[in-house]
This record gives sequence, structure tokens and C-alpha cells, in this order.
Amino acid sequence: MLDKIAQIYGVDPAHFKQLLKLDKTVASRAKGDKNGSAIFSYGLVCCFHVILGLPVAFILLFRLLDAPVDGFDYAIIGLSYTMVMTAFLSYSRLEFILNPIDYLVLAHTPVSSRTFFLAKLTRLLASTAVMSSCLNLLPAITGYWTAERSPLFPVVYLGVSVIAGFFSVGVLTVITGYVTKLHTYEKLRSISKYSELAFPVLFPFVYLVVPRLLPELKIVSDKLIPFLTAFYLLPNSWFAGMVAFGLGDVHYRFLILTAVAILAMLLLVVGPLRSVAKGYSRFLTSLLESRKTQKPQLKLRASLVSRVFERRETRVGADLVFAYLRRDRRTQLRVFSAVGTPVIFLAILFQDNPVWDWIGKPFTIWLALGVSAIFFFGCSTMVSSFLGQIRYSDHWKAKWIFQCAPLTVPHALWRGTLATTLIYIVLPYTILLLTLATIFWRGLWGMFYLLPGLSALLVYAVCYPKPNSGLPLSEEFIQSGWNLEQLWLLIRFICTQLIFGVVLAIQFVMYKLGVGLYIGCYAFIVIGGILIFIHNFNKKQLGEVHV
Amino acid sequence: MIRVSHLTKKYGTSIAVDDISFEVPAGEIVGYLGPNGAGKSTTLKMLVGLVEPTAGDISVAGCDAATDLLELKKRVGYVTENAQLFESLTLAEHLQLMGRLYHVEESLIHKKILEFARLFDMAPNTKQKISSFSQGMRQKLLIMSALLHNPDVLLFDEPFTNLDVTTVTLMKTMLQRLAETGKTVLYCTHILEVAETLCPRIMIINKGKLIADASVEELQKMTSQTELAQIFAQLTDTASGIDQKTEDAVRIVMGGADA
Repeated sequence: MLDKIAQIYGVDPAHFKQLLKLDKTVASRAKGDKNGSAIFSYGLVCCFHVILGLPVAFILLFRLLDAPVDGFDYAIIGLSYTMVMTAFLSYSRLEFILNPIDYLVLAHTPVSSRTFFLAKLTRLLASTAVMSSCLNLLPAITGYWTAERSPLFPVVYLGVSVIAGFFSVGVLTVITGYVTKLHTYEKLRSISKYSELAFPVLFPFVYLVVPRLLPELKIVSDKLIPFLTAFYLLPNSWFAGMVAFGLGDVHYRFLILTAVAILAMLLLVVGPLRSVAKGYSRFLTSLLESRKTQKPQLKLRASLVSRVFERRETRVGADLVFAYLRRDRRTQLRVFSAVGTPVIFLAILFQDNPVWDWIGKPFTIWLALGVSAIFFFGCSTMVSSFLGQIRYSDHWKAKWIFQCAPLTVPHALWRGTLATTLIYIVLPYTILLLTLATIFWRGLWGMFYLLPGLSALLVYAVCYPKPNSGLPLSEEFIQSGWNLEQLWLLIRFICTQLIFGVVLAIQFVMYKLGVGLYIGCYAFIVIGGILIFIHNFNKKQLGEVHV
Repeated sequence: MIRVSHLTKKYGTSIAVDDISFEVPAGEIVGYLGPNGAGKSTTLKMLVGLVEPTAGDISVAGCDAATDLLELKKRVGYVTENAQLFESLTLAEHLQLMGRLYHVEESLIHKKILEFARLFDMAPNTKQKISSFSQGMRQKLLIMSALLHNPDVLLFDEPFTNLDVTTVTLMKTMLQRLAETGKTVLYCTHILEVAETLCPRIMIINKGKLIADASVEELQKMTSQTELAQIFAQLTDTASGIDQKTEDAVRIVMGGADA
């Protein structure tokens, strides 16, 4: 059957099968090497995605307990989340197609670019199917308690969510593919690079923020009923319609939405996706071109961070990370696309009216704790994403340089990385929120609200676990999955949020017991945090080891 | 100088380096030869601290590898064939990184980068990313990196691979001059012509064992052969059946074409 499909698309079935087999072998060996067992690693990936589905399952369940919701409304909320998450999680995996590292190995072989494209796309869709299924497992189960109480709901919802996931990935591939085509034009290369970085941030806005604006729109549109149909322009409602239709509701509305969903999928495959595939050979050729820019004058410029430090290892770490952040496209994609996530969450948070009500008021304990919490959550997510990703690099084998070098304090290199994080993530974020807070609350109140969060954040950053090697950019990034270390970092991140929640609760209790106690507690948290940060940052770790 | 005593490296049950001992005094260039997989690179990796020996003692420039690895690393310049580099760095940034890691004075780093770049005809490439370099340019960069901190001992693992003739000539004369100033050079290669002209003393390793350690003249007497290639083939037993292997190779290639 695989042969027939391959022939229809004009690809070589033998090559296609070989490429799939090669991808599978390479991926499973890489996973096996990291974790000892490929099956264990696949299990981890599935568990992680099931956990990611947990928040939406809870949200939907609470909504069901609050008031009966029909399958269509339930599916809109669930599928919006799914499509966003699938797009987000697939973004780094688009490298399968748009930055295939193995192409340089296979470029001289008689494998056609179309075969190569289809093999890569198949792999991407296979991982999307697994990811979507896991992500939607819990929401599919809780969906049984929708108004219809249909036992078919989990099956139908799960099936449609996989198709919706394919659609998301298809759209993402097409848009990114078109943007990447600009790589063939030298002058537009930097524009395309930044477009790629901005894309993961913009994409969720379309799916998440726009539907949240619709209830506001609905008030206006009560008088303009036809205007409501604007809602149906979004793909999440097409697929939600498909769920309703699958459950046996043959209302014309759902029939149309289902037809639109199928049509959109077909158009995507025969139109833009095919066009990307056709131009793929030109794109792959551009990967092989060496890009030489001659600047004859030598002027070595140390990064801002590195000048602050006397220790050479720290300066090396800071400069290396800085250079990679500035130039290496893959590093930028991994680090900055992950950093975009909290921006979205904050944007969604500020959609809610209660937040604006808080902002409008003078000092309340809820405001003080809320601002600290928002600051800490947003920035700790970014710091985690940054430090979690900066340990990887495609040039990780170059770590022999550090192994050969006479490093008196090997971990000072990681300290340089940490310093880069503080300068490029924490500092701008703090300045931004401090400016906003000063505008909202005038004078020093803004700073008062932010300081506990900042203090806790500095402790979080300085205590963030180093990679096993203790070196930046010195671990191999496995494109297709998660390892135990990443799962551990996620658990640690969740625990940190809980601990900070406890710190806030203590502040609340102190406030209730007396303002004096609250101020004492506040000062203890702020000063204590800063002292811990300074102590840990300057801590010496002497001794030579085989790094 | 380099002093190696009963050095052994085992990977599971396989023995990469089997109880080898040798000494290289200061100011000497020694060729370290052997067929593929003989254990040459493993020996060099142990000398530079990249691989931990299973047994044996290593002393380089008076520093014991077991107790004073850090000081040992400072005294060594290491060049390896096709080494991986941080490709997003420019030539100048890479050398700056190496200079800092080896504690070279900041002002000296800048000066040396400019001078080395000029010496190796890479002055226009100093601001160019390593990812756009040819193999030869990368090899030049590795040589520059190894020499930047003025090491006492140079460990070269196939250093001239991919280099153009001019650079090879420059390197050969430069190594001889450096040896005259008292630097120790352990030169690991497959290119026997270079070893013959550059190294007064040759060590041959085969299947992890050191099978010869003598001057070229002594090896000629020992084997009754005149050329190093013949000496090497005889000692490592790689010449036997070469005619038959050639015939087999042609047959396999032609058979493959028929199929």
C-alpha cells in the first residue's frame, strides 16, 4: 500500500522506504543512547504529552460541572488548545523538513527531493499523530460528560483531534516553508530568520486570543446575527463541527463545517503543500551553498556580559553563548520559540477583566501577591526555556575543546551562560514590567510589587541545574523526543511554582496577622533571595575533573 | 618532554593500547606511525587528557597526568584530524576563545590572531564563520589554536590532512625550527613521506603494541629495506597478499556493475 501511495505522488518507493527506515533507526538509536532504551524514551514522550493535556481537561471538566456544555462547544475549546499546542510542539520538529541535517549526507545520492520531502513529512505526521492522541486523551475521556453523554465522544473527538493536528502542522509547514524560501535571497535572509522566530508567538494569537475576543464580539453581534458566522472562519470550529457531525448531529451548520474542514485539508495538500514540495529541491540546494561574507578588518568585540567578569572561563561561556544567540539559527529557534510561550500566557491572562480591575485599584495584598506571581511565573518560564535549551547545540562535538583546555573551574563556563540569561532575559523583562508597573501604580509601588518575584527569580536562576557536562552548547539535541533529564527539569519547574505559591501564602498569612509582620516577611524574602543569589553565583568550585 | 610507562587502554574486552612505554626528550620530533585502528589517536588522546588510561603512567613536560592534569593541559598543543568546532564562531572568535581557555594575555591574543592569520593566508577570513570554511582552512585554524599559547609539547594527529603544499612546507620547516628551540613534537601520521623527511626518530604501533622505536637509519638496517613505506609494510605485515586483494577488488567492482 505504501508503494502505491508513493507512486501516486511520483516518488521512488524503494528510496522512500529506505529513508523512513533510516529516520526510524537514527531516532531510536539516538533515544536509546540518551536514555538506555528507545521504548522508555517513547514512553516519556507520551507521558509528557498526556500531562500537557491535563490543564485543558481540568478546564473543560470544571466548565461541565458549572453548566452543561454540548459537544460542539466543548470541542471548540479543546481543539483550539490542541491545535495551538500541536503547532507549538511541532515547531522545533519542522527542522525535519526545513533544516534536514542528514541532507548533507544524502545530497550526492540519487534520492529525489520530492521523495526526501515526503519521507520527512511522513515522519512529522507520524509524530504529530502520537502527540495529538496523547495530548487529547484526557480531554476526550472527560468529554463523555458533555450534554449528549455519547459513549462515542472519546473516539470521535480523538480521531478529529488527530486530523486537526495534521491540519495545524500542514499550515505551519506551508507558512514556514514559504518564509524559508526567502533564504535563497541574500538580503531577505535576516528578515526570514526573524519571521521564523516571530511565527511561533503569532500563531497562538490566531487560535487562542481571537476566540477569546469573540464573546466580546458576541454582545455587539446580537443585533447582527450574520456577523456571528465570522466565528466559523476559524479552523477550530470547522473541526469542532466535524466532532458534532461525527456524534450524529446532522444539523446543516455542522454539515457545512465538516465539509469546510475536509475541503481545507484537501486544498492544503494539493495546493500550498504541493507547492512547497515542488520548490523543495531549490531550497535544499541553498542548504549546500556556503555563505561567505567578507569583512577584512579584524575587530574583536567582547559581549557586554563578558566584560563584567574577570574569570576567563566565565567570559568564554558568556561570549560563546552570546555568539550562538546572535548567529546560530537553530539555537535561536530552539531558545526563542520556547521563550515565546509565557508571552502568550500573559497575553491570555490580561484578556480577563478581573486582572484589569485589580490593576485599577491602589494597594491590596492580592495585587502585591498577584504581580509578584505573574512576574515570577512569566520570567521563570523564560529562564527555564532558555537554560533548558542552551545546553544543546548541533556543534556539541566541539566540546573536546573544553575537555582539552586547562579549565581551573569548569563550571565557570556555565556561570557565563547564566550571566547571559540574566542580561538577555531577566533584565529586559524586569525593565519592561517595572516600567509598566511604574506607569500603573506611580512612584515606587511598582517596584514594591515586583521585588519579591525578582528576588525569587534570581534564586531560581542561580540554582537552575547545570547540564550533566556542566558546559553550554555541548549536548546533542534529539529532534524527535524527550529524555529523562528534560522531564526532570519540567517536574522541577512545576515544584518551583508550587514553592513560590507557598511563599506567597506565607506573605498573605503575615499580612492578615499584622502589617509589621508582613513588612518583615517581605524584607526577609527580598534580602534573603538576593543574598542567596550572590552567594551561589560567586561560589567557587575548584578541582580539575574529566569533563 | 614526554614520558609514557606501561600505558594501556581497554574498551570493554578490546585493547586499544597495550602496555606501551616510550620517552621523547625535549627538542625532538618523533613520528608515530601505524595502520588504521592501531591505537595512535587513542595514545594521543590519553596524553592530552581526553581519554583516561586503564593503566600506566603519563608525564608530559614534567607534569603527571594522574596528579597534575591541569598543568599538563596548559603545556600541550593538540591538533587532531577533522576536529569538530563551534561552527557559528568566526575564526577570530574561536582563537580568542582558545586563548582565554589557555590563559593567554588578552593583548597577546589579539596580536597573535592577526599574525597567525597573516602567516596562514587567512587574514581576509578572520571575521568569517567557521561553517563556511573548507577542510583545509579548518585544519589551519586547528594548528593556529594549538600554537596560540606557546606550548612546550605539540601532539599532532594527522595535522597536514587537507593542507595545500605551501602550508605543508611551511609547517614542516616551522616544526623543525620549533624543535630546535626545545619543543617536543609527537607527530602521528599515515603520510610516510612527511614522517621520513621530518622525523629523525620513528615509533610504529600495531594492534595496540609498540613494535618499533628507532631512527630511520636503524629501521633500514633492521629490515633491510630502503624506504619507510617498505619498512612500515614489513613491520606491520600489511603488504602480504596485496596483489590478490587488488585482483579481488577489481572483480568485486566489476561484478557490482553487472548486477
